[in-house]
Formats: sequence, structure tokens, C-alpha cells
Amino acid sequence: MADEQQPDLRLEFDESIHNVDAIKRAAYAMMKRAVCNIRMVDGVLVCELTAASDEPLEGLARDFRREVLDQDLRLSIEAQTEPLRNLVLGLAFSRVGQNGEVH
Amino acid sequence: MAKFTDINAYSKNLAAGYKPLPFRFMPLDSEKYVLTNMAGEFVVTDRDGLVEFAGGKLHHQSPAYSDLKSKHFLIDSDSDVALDLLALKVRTKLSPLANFTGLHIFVVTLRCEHSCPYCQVSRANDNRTDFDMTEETALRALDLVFQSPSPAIKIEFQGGESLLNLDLIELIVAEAKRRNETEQRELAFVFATNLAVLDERALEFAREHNIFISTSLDGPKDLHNRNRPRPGGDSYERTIDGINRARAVVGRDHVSALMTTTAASLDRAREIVDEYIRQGFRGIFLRALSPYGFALKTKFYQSYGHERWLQFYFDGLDYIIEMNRNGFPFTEQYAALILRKMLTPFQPGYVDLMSPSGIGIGAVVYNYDGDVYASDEARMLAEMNDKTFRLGNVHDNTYEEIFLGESLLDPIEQSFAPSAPMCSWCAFEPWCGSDPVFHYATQGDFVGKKPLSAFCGRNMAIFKGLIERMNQDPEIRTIFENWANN
Repeated sequence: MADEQQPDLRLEFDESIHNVDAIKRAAYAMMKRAVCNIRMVDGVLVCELTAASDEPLEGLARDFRREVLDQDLRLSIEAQTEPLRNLVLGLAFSRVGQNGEVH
Repeated sequence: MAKFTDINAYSKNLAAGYKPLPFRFMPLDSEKYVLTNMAGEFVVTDRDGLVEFAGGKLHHQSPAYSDLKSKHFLIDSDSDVALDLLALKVRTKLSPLANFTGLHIFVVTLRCEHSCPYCQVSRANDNRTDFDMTEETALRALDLVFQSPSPAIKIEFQGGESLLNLDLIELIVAEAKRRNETEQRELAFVFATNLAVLDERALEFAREHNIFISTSLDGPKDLHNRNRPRPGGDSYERTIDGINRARAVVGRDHVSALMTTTAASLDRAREIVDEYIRQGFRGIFLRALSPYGFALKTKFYQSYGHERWLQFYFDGLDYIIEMNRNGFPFTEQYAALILRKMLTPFQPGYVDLMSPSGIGIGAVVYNYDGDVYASDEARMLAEMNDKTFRLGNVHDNTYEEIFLGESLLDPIEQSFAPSAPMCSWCAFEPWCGSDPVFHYATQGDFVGKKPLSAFCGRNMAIFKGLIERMNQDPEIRTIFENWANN
């Protein structure tokens, strides 16, 4: 069997600080620029990135880390505001009748 | 005794802190972020401002606090009705959904005397009447039209070239108006026509029934005729002549035109805008090609990427903005649709930018053979032998089977943007759409991987481009507010 292609970048994130969902989301959001393999090694989330083009790897690493930070903040905001979100949606739809009429 | 409570009493209440309301954010550039709330209102800030606000550390006397509070990004002890107001705005944005289908497209014939290589609709030779809709099919389709709960019904006649089957159009209009005497809907009709075969009979009929005319104008004569070949090579001359004759009969505001961008258009955005001004239009809809029909077969769709189209779009947009600055009012209509979402509480019913998707809900297509499709693009896909979005047939299926069947509800449910990967956390989602037909056509599933989606890339760039321009220049903000409110 042929060896797997070596990744271009290896980025590490401490699991106690970073939400694994944030890393998954970052990998998804950046799939056009890189394929990301995520592994857990001794409490460290390891992201192995293979670039989709010959763009400079420093820029890719910087943007991936920034995306992880953004996603982590998004997850915090979502968790923090979820009850209010449900309340607003409840209020918004509370005046829709059984037949769909808006009162 | 003091007549008023001391002002510090209010500050004390506010100093107790605030709660952020649900909001999402996306980078605008390397420094700025766009924040949107549940109703699509937005603010722009830097990363420090974002983190400070999200962390509950924004000072109540800062200008950003007032801005965020007035736009329903936070509540504090002084925000008694904020949640109700935000809910009202969310409900206002969603309220058009309750009306269900307003636009009903009748493909009265596939015949066409043009042979445009980019045509997103398939066509038949203009002597093949077996591609005409029959009276029986039209009447059955009308049964379905009037089962829609929408108080406003627009019937658009498309082709091929719709006017090649004027006999049937006359029948449909007469019958729809007869039925509407008891239905009492707000009823309107549109001819989608290239105007090449427009005759006095069609014009007089349009005048008598207050029919809108929508045509195609791709730009200056050489570009238009190159894009839209027909026998005699005189598409441009016939279109311009038709526009002028139609305006004289049905009125200027009843005649509109759409352009399509081909590779040959890409360096000519300003000339195309100039052509629309020369012909007396008050705006232009700068449109990209869609990945359907002849546009795919002839490789026209693949001839440029969305990044190149965006250069074309922004070149045209900046030219139009400059014109407005110089006192000449002219609108880029795609931007105007988006700005209406960004700057007003209202939701334009543009199918591509709706979530839940506008397929079936915003518009529906009755094909010449009685097949019902979820959108015009769904019909184009079917002409490529993929009938995924065929909802049924007017002769075989009931209204409930067509509009509540899995063929429509599955793609709408699966592609619903607030629960789609990446859309669910995207700050631009309140202004965007889900377009399951596009993503199915390009990626093979209703949702699509948005980082790879030309639909997502194109719209995200336009959202950012509009915000950047508004933020940099208050005069542009005023121009955009005019577009949004007209």
C-alpha cells in the first residue's frame, strides 16, 4: 500500500482551551483551501492540513488559527444566547394560527 | 421634593450590565467584523469591539452600546419591550411565507426563433407545435393557480418565445380574469418575450389587460446580437423597436429588461449600463449565467468563474454609484434587493435569496406538457433529463400532492439555511438564500458544501462589497437607502 501523503501543516490545539466543534467547523469553513485531518493525541487536538493550492503556508496557518478562534467565540455566543433566541422565535411565531394565518 | 428622578439613578440600572441577544458575525476584511441580529440588522466593529461586546464588558455609556441596543443586539434593565420588538421584526421578515405561491409561470411553448447559445431554457424549432401547451393543460394549471392562498397572483408567460403561442395566452388571461371576478385576488400578468415577434395584436392585448412586458437586452448592439443570434442577425434592432413600441402602448413602467453576462460581456460592464441608460431604463439587473440548459451544453456556463463575474459586477456597480453621486438616479437591482433586506424590515420575494427556499413557495412553473416544477431553474434541469424537482403533473396530481409532496418539501427542509453547515453560523444568512436547485445542479445535493459553492462565494462577496461601500462613504449609504426603499 502506498504511503499516505504527508500533510503540509501540523497545528496543535489544547483540548482544555479549544472546543473540538470549533476546530471541526474551522476545517469545514476552510475546505476550499485545505483538507484537514483532525486527531486527538494526549489531550492535544492535532490538525494536519494539506493545502489545495501552492499558497504560502504561513497564511494558511494564520487563517486556520483565526478561524478556530472565531468559531470558538461563535459557539460561546450560541450557548449563551440560546434561551433568548428560543424566546424570540416563540414570540415571533406565537401569533400564527392553526391554519398558518398571521394575526 | 425633586420633580424628576436623578439622572444617575438610570445609570445605576444600566451599570448592572446587559445580556447579548442572539447574533452572528463574519469577518468583513482583515480587521473589521460584521455582526447581524435575528432580524438582519447589522453593525460593523473591529475584533476587540466584538470580543468586548460578546464578553459582556461593553460600557453602557459608549457609543457602540447605544448603537447595539437600538438595533436589538443587547438587552439591559431599560429594555422592557426589546424582545417583543425583535420578535415583531423577525415575524415581519417571515410573514410573506404565509401567503405561499404568488408567481405562477406558464411555459406556453418551447418554440423560439432565437438560437442563443447561452439559453438557460431549452428550445424547439419555431414550427414544432407539439411543444405548445394545450388549452386543457392551461385550464387545469389555472385550477391550481387559484388554489394558492396568495392574495396576489402574478401569471408570467414564458417560452421558448411566449408570444409564438399568443392564442393560448389570450385564453389564459380571459379565463383567469373570469375566475378572479369571484376570487378577488390582486391579479397581474407578464409577457416574458424577446420582442422579435411582437405584433399589433399582442400589443393591443397587453394594453387592454394591463400586461407587463419583460424582455432581454444584453448590452450594445454588437454584444447583444452576438449573444442572441436569430435569422437575419437583427435581435438588437427588433428588441429596441419592440421596447419603444411597447412603451408607447403599455407605458414606460410596464416594460423592463434583463441582461445575461457572457464571457464577451465581462470587460464591458460600463457599456452595458450605458446601453440601458440610452434606452431609457432606470435600472439594470447585473446577472450571472446559471448552470442549466443550453448554457451548460454549449460550455457557456463554464466560460468564466464567479470571481471574474464579481469583477464585472463591481465595475458596473461602482460606475452606477458614481452616476448617482453626480445626480443621475439609476439602480443596480440585485444590490437593491439585498439592501432592502439589510436596511428595511421587509423581505423581497426573490426566489434565489429566500430561506426557506423560494422554490414552489415563491414561484412555480407549469411546463408546456403539464409537468409542474419547483422553479424556472428546476424546469431547466428537467430539460437536461433530470426531473428531481418535478412536483407532479397538472392532469395527474392534486394541489396537495404537488405542493405538499416530498419532491418539494424535502429540498426545502434539507436546504433550510439556519440549519445548514456554514449557513447556520454565517452572519449573512438573514440576507441570503438556500437555492437547493443550484446546489443540486452543481454539487449533487440540496444543501451543497458552501465553501465550494459559487452561489455562496458570489453572494458573500456582494454582501461584503455593499457594506464596505456604505461604511466608507455616507453618500453611498444615502444612495443605497434610496435603492432599498424604492
